[in-house]
Amino acid sequence: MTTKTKVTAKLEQLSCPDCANMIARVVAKIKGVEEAEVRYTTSKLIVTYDTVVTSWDSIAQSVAKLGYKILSKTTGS
Amino acid sequence: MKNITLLGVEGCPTCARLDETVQAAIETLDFPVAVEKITEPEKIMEYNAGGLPAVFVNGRRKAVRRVPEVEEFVTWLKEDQA
Repeated sequence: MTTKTKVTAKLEQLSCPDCANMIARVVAKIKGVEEAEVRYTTSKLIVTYDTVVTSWDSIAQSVAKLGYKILSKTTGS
Repeated sequence: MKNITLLGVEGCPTCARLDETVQAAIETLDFPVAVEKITEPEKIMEYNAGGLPAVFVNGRRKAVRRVPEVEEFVTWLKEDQA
């Protein structure tokens, strides 16, 4: 049974590519996150994480603390 | 002394414009102002500012997600100034 999940979340419009990189760096540092990417042009966060180690709520909370709202999310493998 | 704290991202052009605006405001004043720039994500998260860039004057949040006008900075910095 896999405990990995991939979530794509739409963020509020980002100010610049550097902001996108910062969010990706912070999310990537969360224990249990295997891969994190933020696409500036589409304001999308794509994150793969281990659901045993961390949760979407933890990831979303970190993004929110940086000041970015998550508008929607979809889960896919 | 008045303190301005700027939260932003290294390399972000909007944040750079914020720096320039703050400096322009300070140049019009006849009292000292301390400016602190915070770009480390871990420290930014402690502020829970609600957006970037963000401006705090003496610990009070004044602006988020925008670059205020010079006049706004001057007004905030003159508040409570004896």
